Formats: sequence, structure tokens, C-alpha cells
Amino acid sequence: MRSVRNGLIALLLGVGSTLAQADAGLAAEVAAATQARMQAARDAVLPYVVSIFVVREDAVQGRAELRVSAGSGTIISRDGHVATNAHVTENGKRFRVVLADKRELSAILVGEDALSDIAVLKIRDVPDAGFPFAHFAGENKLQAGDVVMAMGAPWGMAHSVSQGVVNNPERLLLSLFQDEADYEQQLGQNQPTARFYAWIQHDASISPGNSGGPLVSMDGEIVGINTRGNSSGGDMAFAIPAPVAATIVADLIREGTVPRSFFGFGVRSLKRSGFDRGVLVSSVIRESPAALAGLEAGDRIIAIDGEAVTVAEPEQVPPFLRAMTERRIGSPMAVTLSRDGLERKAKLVSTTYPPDLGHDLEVKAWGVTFTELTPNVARSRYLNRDVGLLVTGVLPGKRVATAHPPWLVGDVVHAIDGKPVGSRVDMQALDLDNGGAAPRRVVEIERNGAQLLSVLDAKPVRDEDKKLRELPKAWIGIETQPITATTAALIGGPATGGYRITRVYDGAPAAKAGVQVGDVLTALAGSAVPVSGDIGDEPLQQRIREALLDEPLQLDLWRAGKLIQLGVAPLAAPAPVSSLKSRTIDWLDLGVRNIGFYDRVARSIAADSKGVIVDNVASGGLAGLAHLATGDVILRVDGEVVPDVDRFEQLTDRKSRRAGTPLSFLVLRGSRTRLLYLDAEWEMGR
Amino acid sequence: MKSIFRGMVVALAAWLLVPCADASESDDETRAVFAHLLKTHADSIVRVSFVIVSAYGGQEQRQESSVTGVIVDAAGLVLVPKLVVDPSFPGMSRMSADQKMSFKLESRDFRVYFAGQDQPFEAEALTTDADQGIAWLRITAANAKLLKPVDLKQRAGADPGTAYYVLERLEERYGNAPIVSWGVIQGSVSVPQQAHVGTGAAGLAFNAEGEVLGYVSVDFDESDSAATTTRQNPRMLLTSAARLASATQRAKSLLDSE
Repeated sequence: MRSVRNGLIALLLGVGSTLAQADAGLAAEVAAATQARMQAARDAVLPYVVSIFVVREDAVQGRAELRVSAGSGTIISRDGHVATNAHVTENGKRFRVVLADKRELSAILVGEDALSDIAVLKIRDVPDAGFPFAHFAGENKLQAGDVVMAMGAPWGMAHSVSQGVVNNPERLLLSLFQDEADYEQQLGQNQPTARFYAWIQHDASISPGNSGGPLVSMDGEIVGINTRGNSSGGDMAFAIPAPVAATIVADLIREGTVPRSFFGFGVRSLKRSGFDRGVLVSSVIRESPAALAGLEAGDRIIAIDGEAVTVAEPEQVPPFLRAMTERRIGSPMAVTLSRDGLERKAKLVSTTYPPDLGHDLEVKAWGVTFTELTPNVARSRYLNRDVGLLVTGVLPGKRVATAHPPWLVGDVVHAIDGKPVGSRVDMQALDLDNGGAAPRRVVEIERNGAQLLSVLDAKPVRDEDKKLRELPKAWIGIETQPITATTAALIGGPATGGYRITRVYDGAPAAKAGVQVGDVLTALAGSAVPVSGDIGDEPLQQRIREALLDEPLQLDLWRAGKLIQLGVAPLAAPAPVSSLKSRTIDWLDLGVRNIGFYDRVARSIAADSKGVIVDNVASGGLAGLAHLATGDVILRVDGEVVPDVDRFEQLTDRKSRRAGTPLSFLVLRGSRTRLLYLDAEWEMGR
Repeated sequence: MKSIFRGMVVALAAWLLVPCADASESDDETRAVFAHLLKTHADSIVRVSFVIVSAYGGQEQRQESSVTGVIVDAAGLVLVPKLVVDPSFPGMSRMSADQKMSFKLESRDFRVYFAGQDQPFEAEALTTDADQGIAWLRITAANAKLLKPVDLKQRAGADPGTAYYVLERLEERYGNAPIVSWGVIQGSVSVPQQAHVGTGAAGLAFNAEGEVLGYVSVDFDESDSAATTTRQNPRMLLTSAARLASATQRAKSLLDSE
């Protein structure tokens, strides 16, 4: 009996073992298949993902500043079109893309659409065979829990891949704690993606730099364009769904813009309204098609073109608004309204959807930056008029900051010397950066609803190259340390103490007079110099500075236990660095100066070495983009030795340079030389 | 009894009145000094606006500010504190070389506002005297009629206990009105330089007669010692009028060398 039982156990164990082996085999098979699928999906898109480097120009405190930013994108056509985010290309002046094979290519902006946060770049030089490219998914089939991969360049680290799952394939960012109208108002600020479109919420890690990169399904299709994430990494990210992105991208490639209809009314859902059908009109923009048709805030739209409409919940608002914008521009729309319990009919004819944001511009000579007013900007700022130039930055000390009255950020300029201005073109016509015609300008400004007149001096402000000089004073070329009486007794010095010479500069008056390191100075011109402690020799240096130039100055020195007297003829102190000849190279936003005595001492630069010292690199300027830094010693420009600032100015003269060639700088930073380049493309248009 | 009582009342009244009379006399004197100083020197006192540009790590900030300046020469020299043209802050000298390389602090866009003029005059920094804590601006295109300099030859010595007066010109929001502040010289020092130590206002110091005593500047301890963690309060140093006049002459000579 026992043997039978043992046999059964052995059989069961054998079967169990066989089954376990089968399970393990199946798991390995599944893992291999999953891995193969992921690899296939990765290989369908990752080779076409690019890093994007943008030289952008942003208005900062009244001046346009250049800076380099980065994002991601995907090649989506044979012709080299790259899909990315509008907030990646925003304010971009120059674009470069880095392909998977490390090629860095120049690109141009085809179009950008702030409302969807989609933009398209095009690589300039397309090879004969074209570019291989990735594909958008035709429809949004994603479901919560589906595995997705985010690809791009987080923090600029190219061709990175992270993995996660879809948390919600149609996420609308509606806060439980905000009124719907607040939400819509905030959307007007910047890339209001979710005004019309739901996002894909997922948890594949994305960071700054991933923007514009693809979200990829296990089928190897682009299912979304990553647009928002946590700046600290985190596990909540959002992507624009592929069907939306593909449509917008196609519009941008075809027309450079996205055609949308505009009716000029906002809506809110019926939530908490007590109504059970229709949609409420929350706002009507002045002089819009809706206003012309007689719509009023508080109306309830119950039918459009004869078909009943109901927007019961906030989540239904974006699709409704989107449907409005997708109607053909100029087409009529018949609306049935309920107002005061009565039904009314209205006919609206759409116009082209106005841009959310206007162009930015800078008047450098005046120290001011503007943005063109648009209806949306005017609405978000509660302005009465939607044409004008909104002041976005004022540079302290410049013309508009010292106008009468001074301008403030938020002012709207409507006219200059009686001529209406509302666009970049209007301002360019006045040629203000070159002084224009009038020495003084009378400017009409709107501030908090009041219409002000401001007078400003229109002469361009000169940026002086003159450096601050310290008053010339006597100098004999020594450094010393104070020696108190106690210390002097220990080292065999004079009983009163004094100032021990620690350095004698070569060629200085003290050196010529025979002063040596180790001498202890006790008196100047027969007058004892008090020692106030063992920190700092200012009392002595002060006395020296007060001496007369070129008149002999007697030094009482203690040397080897004996008092000696030497006569020194003081010279004017070497020019302090602040007074050395300098130049400002405007187009580079760079200040340089000659090398001086104290530079050579501080940096151990040989007396006969040549170069100029970088005094100032304005933030956001071309010199900054070339990575020049304050304190650099520029030794050569384009291989030519730089002896002084005059030569430097010649070598960097923009007019005599061949267009399209990079500018190279050999600089000494610390103890090492560096070769830096200014990309020729960056300076174009600057 | 009545006369005794009356006598006591009179004595009490006299006792009470004496200090009042002294205070009133003192007030009268002060009023007279202020009036005299304003009458004599207010036209030489101007308001100077400027912009401080600071940059660190590529981020630039600009801040507009203003101080009182004094016309000290008919060539358009304006005396201001050194910090106006060469701004710094306590501890700046202890910045590391790397910090200094990426840090910038400078003043620019100087404008001089004269009383009664609605348009300022542009000025540029001419030179500084770090020892005295002063600097000179030069008005680039001044209206000669407006330039009424303080005569630095009209000067006097000072001793501990001497009261001094400083004229200031207020900001535009107060209509650029002139006011008088004062201080007192507390003592003298010979290190780190020959100077008086004072307390009170800073700026060009006059005595009650309107003679120049010198310039009172704020002296920060910029020594590089570890003791700076127990930094003493900044001191007000008055350097002599003779030294100020000499330095101003040398500053003026720079104009000729340009």
C-alpha cells in the first residue's frame, strides 16, 4: 500500500514538474513575443525621432533676448517634415534638428498652431531618396492600461525611451474647484490645447525636452505627441492624440495655418443650471458674428441647423467648441435660442478664427518690447479695444522708462504722433530704431481705461564704452603685510613694528629704488606709519596714494637689523581695470577691454602676451550663445591674433565678414584655452 | 503773605520760562542756519537718477534709483557717493574668482534733475576716489545757467563736537524739494586714513556758516579676514574739505586730457 502511495506521489510530482516546465516555457515565449513586439514598435518610430534645438527670442524686461531651448519631434514625411509642439517652436528664430544617426540639420518653421500646441518644421536639405518616416495612428483606439512608449530628448538627452501605460485616453483638465468660465479664461494665456481637444493621460516618464516627441503604441504607431508633464519627472504626462495631431499637421503642411471658424461666443454646460436641454451662452465678443446676430450672454442654444443640442457636463464643452470651429469658414449657422422663456431664431455667419497671440516686437532704441493686441489678448486683459500694441517690457533708464509720464508694462500704445499703430508693420514703418524723423514723440497710451499722452525723447541712447576711472594717485609698486611690535621682536624687526615688503612689482619705482622682499618699512617721508593690527596694509597704501607724483618719497626700511633709507619716485598707479579702453560690439551683445597691469598680475599673464578681456556678455545675446563668458581672455578671432580692442572691433566687424561663415574665438579661461564658435545661422536675422 | 506768594509765583514762572526761552532761541538758530544754507547752496544741489544693472549666471536685472548730487564745478561736475557709479555690496570683495567672473554689477544711464526743470540732463561717470568714497559725474550737455557750483575754496576745518549740515534734494514725487539734514563729528582717526568719524547724514558737509567741511561717506569694512562674520557697523567718515578740493581739481583735469 505504501509503495502504491509513494508511486502516486512520484507520479504527481512528475506531472507537477512537467506542468511547471510547461508554464515556464510559455512565460518565456510570451516574454520573448512581448519583447519582440516592443522592439518592433520601437524600431518603427525611434529612428525617426529627432532632437530639436531652437534659438528663440523672448522679451525680457524691455529687450529681446536670445536663448537656446530644446525639444523633440518626429519625421513624419518623406520630405522631411517634423511634427512637434508649438511651445517648442514658439518665438523660435532658428531651428536645427539632430537625427538618430547624429546628423545635425537646419530646419525651417512650416507653421504652428497654438490652439492645439502642434507645430511643423521642415528639414532644409532633403536627400534625393527622401527621409524614412514614422506614421500616425489613424484613430485613437487607446484604452486605459494599454502600454505606450514616450520617445524624445528629456533634458536634451537624445533618443531616450520610457515606458508606461495609458491612464485615461481622453483626459480633459477640468478642475472640480473652478468655474468653467475661469478655465476658459486661463486657456487664452498660452497654448490652450484642451480648449478643443482632450489629451491622452499616461505615466511614461517625460521631462522638459520630451515636448513634441512621440507617444508610441505597441503597434509601432504614433498615438500622440507628448505636450505636458511634470518638470520634476513624475508619473503624470499628457499627449495630444494622433488623429488630432495628424489633422493639424496636414493643415499646417498644406496651408501653413489651421483654418477655423469663429463665431465669437463662449458656452458653458447646463450643470447646476436647472435646465435639461441646450447649452448656455456664457459670453459674446463685441462685434463678433454672434454679437451681430443678436446673441447675448445668458441665452440658451437649444438647436443648431434644426438639430437639438445639449451640453450637460463640462466635459462636453470642448467637443462642442471644436465642432463650431470645424465648420466651413463663412458658412451660415442657424441657431434656435431660448431667452426669457421664448424661442428665437438667429443666423450666424462665421469668420476666420483670429490668432490667440499677436507678433512680438522690440524697439531697441526705446528700450521697450510689445506684443500686438488680438481679441483674445484684449479679452483676457479686459481692454476696451482689440487693436494696439501691448507693452510687455520696459528697460529701466531707457527712453520709455524716462518718458513723461514713463510707460508701464500693461500699457497699450494706440498712436505715435497721431498715427495709429497696431502692428509690427506699423512700427517698422516708423523706423524708430534708427531715430526716425522727430526728436520727440507724442504717444497715445491706454492705461487702466484712461487715455494718456506721453512725450518721449526719441534720440537713441548711446551705449558708452567709456570706463570708470579711479582718480590718478601715487604708486610705488609694493605689497606689504603689517608687522606689530610683538611680531617684530620675534623676527628681529624694528621695535615699533612696520610693514614687511611681500612683493615688489617688476619695473615699478620701488624695484628701481632697490626695495626688496623682506624689508620692513617703518616711515614714509620721515613720518612713521602707524600699524593698527596685523590685518591689511591700508594705512600705508593710503599714505602712498596721498604722496605727490614724480616727487621723491623717502622710505625708511629695516633690512638685516639695520635702518636704511631709499628714495623712490612715485608714478601714477597703473590703470585700474575699470578704466581700461573698451569696446561694445552691439551685434554680438559683447563688451571687451584691453588687458591691464592688474589682469596680468591676477592671471599670471605674461607682460608681452596679447588679447582682450571679455567684460560683459549680455544675457540672451549672440556672444552668450557662443558660450563666451565674462573674464575670458580672447586671444584670437578667426585665427588672427587680437592685440587690443581696436583690432578686435575690426576682426568682428559685421559688414566686412562673409555672410554664412562661423566666427571662431580662441579664449583663455583659467589656465586652459578653449575654441568657441558662433554659429553663422544664429546671427542671421539678428 | 500775599507778596510772598506773588514772589513765589513769579519765581516759579521764571524758572519754567527760562528753558522755554533757551529752546526757542535754539530753534530760531536752527531755522536761521537751515534758511541760510538753503539760500546759499540749494541751487547747487541736484537729483541724480541712474540704473543699476546686475547680472549673475546670465540673468540680468535692472533697477532704477536716485540720489542727491552736488554741482562742484562750472564744467558740469557733479559730486555723488562712489557707490552710485561703482556699486558694490558688503562682502562683494570676498566673492570667489568664479563668482566674480559670472557676476556683474554696474551703474549706467545717469540723469541729472535740476530744480524747476522738467527735463533731465544726461551725465556720465568721470572718475572715483575710493579713499574718500566719492565720485564725479560730468553732465554731457549742461545748460551753463543752471550750473551754480559750491565753491570748495570756501571751506573750514572740523573738530570733534562740530555739528555739520548736509543738503539733499528729494525725489521727483516730492517735487525735487531741497531739505537739510545734519550730524555731528564724534572723533578723529589716523588709520586707515586721516579722517573724522561722524554720525548723522552723509554727503557734502557744511558748517552753520555754509562753509564746506568735507565729504561724509559711509565706510564699509571690506577686509578679507575671518573676523568679517562679526562685522562692525559701517562708519561715517568725513574727509577734509582741502582733500576734497584737491581731488576735485584732479578730476577736472581729466576733462582736459580727454
